[in-house]
Amino acid sequence: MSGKLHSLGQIDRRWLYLTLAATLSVTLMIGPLFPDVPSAFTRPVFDSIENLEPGTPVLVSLDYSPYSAPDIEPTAEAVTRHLLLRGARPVFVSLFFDGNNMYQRLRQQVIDRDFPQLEEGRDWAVLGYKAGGRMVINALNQDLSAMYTADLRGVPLDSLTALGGMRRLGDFPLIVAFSSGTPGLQEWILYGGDPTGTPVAGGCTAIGMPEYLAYFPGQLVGLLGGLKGASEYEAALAAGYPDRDFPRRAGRAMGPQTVAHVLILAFLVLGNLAYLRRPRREGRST
Amino acid sequence: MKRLIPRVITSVVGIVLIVSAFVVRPGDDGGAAWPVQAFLYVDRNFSVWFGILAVFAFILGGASLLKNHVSKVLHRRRDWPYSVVTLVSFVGVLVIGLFKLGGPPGLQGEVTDPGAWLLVVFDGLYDPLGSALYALLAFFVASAAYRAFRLRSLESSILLVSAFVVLLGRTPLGTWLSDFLPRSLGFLRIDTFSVWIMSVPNVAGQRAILIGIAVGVVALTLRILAGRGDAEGGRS
Amino acid sequence: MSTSLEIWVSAALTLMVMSFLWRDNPFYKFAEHLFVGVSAGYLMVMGFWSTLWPNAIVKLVPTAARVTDPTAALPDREPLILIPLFLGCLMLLRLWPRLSWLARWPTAFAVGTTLGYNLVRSVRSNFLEQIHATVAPGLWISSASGGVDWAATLNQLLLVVGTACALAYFTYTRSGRGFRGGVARSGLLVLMIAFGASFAYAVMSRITLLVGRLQFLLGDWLGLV
Repeated sequence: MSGKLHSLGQIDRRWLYLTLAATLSVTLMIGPLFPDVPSAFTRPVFDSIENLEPGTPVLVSLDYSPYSAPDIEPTAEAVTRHLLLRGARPVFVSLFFDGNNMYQRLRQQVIDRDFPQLEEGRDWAVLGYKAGGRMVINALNQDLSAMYTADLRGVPLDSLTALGGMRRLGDFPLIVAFSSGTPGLQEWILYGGDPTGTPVAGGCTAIGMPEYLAYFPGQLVGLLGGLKGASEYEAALAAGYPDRDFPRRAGRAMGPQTVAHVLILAFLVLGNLAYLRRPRREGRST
Repeated sequence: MKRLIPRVITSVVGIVLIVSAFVVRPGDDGGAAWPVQAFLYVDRNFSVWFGILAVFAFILGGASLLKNHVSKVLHRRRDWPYSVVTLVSFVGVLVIGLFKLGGPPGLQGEVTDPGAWLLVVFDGLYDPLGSALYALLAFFVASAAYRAFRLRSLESSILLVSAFVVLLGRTPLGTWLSDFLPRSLGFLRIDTFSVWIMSVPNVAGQRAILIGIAVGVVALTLRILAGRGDAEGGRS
Repeated sequence: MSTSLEIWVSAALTLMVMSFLWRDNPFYKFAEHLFVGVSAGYLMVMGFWSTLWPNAIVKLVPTAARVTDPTAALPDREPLILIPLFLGCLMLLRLWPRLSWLARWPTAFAVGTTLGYNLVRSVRSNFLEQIHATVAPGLWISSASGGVDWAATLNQLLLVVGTACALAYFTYTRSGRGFRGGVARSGLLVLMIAFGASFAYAVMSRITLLVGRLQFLLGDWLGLV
């Protein structure tokens, strides 16, 4: 038994890769949908958007690239749906150079699909990407027109009714940042939320969640971490708006995610069993 | 001179911006004395200028890439045919993007408007390549879980147990495994324990790291602004 | 199965990248070099049209606004925008070894700007606010009924002590035994729990990205999902 366990430690890594890919593929094809409930980190984001007055402009920053989209895009979709359902007016900006493309995808998947009656410039606005990272936020603190003179279509800021008279970052009642790294949520807190007193709600990739939790609940209204956060938000949206049937993109991906977690846990256990059962002469190194 | 001027620029710009953070902003209709206006002007415009410099940094990166790969092709260095791929794709995307091929006529409209060729490049090349490269990391993480995370010492064991509980707590399996616990022992449920790890020890550790970094930022900033660092990065 | 050429190209590129899991090979190298070229070009294009054009060129030559929008109102000219443009040109001198020392000027400006802005914000948000968030709730947390919420109180105590111990670890890393050493070692254990949580979330994040790619291959390309 000991020898067999030890030989597990010598297994070619490609078998591990194959096991992971096969397990995820099979689960994807079966497509289980697990029930989810909003956690203590997710609920405050939902509530803060639920409490917005219709017509309120909300600054939404799409700070992610397509590489991390599976981990953060479902969150952006669910929250944008919620904002538009509440009649709030998202004003999209981005600190990532791929942000304009991510907006185009968000528009296709959410606005065009679920809210075809809404009109750009009136019900939402897109200011788009600017280079400079945290400095962009700093400029917006003083004046939106420091960085932006027009929206992506070239319409001057004064003509955008969706902006509702907002002239600087501090005028917005809420900043929502979807972040997959730097610049992202941390910069919005340091350069946007804290200096202006504007509440910041966040969505982040799972990898950022442990770090950003340090800012919750004082400097962050709430935090949607990775696919799980998105799945919880989708569940909250489904419970809050039972008459609307929105896609459960994150919820459907949670099945394979769950199975993968169990598989990784099994790898951890088996790897350590093999390590503990190794012959003594191999010493402590791996 | 080569070192003095950059140091003076760094110190002056840094100190002016630190002071400007303490300047009280006038209201929308309120005027302000000229020193206040000057600091506000600097505070606003240095951010914009920084953004412009960032684009020049992108251009420098692109030019450097061009220089290196052209040299590799010209000298027929190892794997030079792949450099041709890089050069062709780089120049191709530049032409498509800078001339806004596809989409609205001429140079009008947004470079990512529907119909623009850059959108096709994004969806057909950039997105799948980048996403696949990042997806590779999942396999490496799985391999690391199997081969590297060992119960070697008290510290590594605690790290492992923490990771184990948090991973398990984020799945329905964690809930199911601890369903047998009575209500009075609810705090021992794996999902509850996982949330506790995230909210208490994790936050304690992360806050200590943030506070430590903030102290480091102060020390480093003061050192560089005092002209005692080589922040401009050059040893010529 | 998809009939779109774009999807087929995307799927082929995905498989080329994934082939690295077997071993390094020409397909992977091709995909890797293609990615470098495409992303560098894309970055420059986005930087140019989103920032350099509207925030520098149009501000210097207002009629340039009509190039992208014939009906655009002409903005006021801002001659001072020449300063960052000049610094930007100096930055490009990094490519010529004889003049590369001039590229330190824009770097110095960027460093000064970053430090100047960051110092105050970092002290405020990452130092003062973090200490405030840790100690402000106090050590006795009241329950809704007015008594002491023992669970919340214990958690708060652990949070304060854990943060202090982890900070002590940074200060007394080399302390061996004794009180200081004990506190520092406790701090190390707190950090290990935090790193364990970070590892778990890193696993989640990476798995999600793989799920996304598999959804594309099995769904968008093969039509199996």
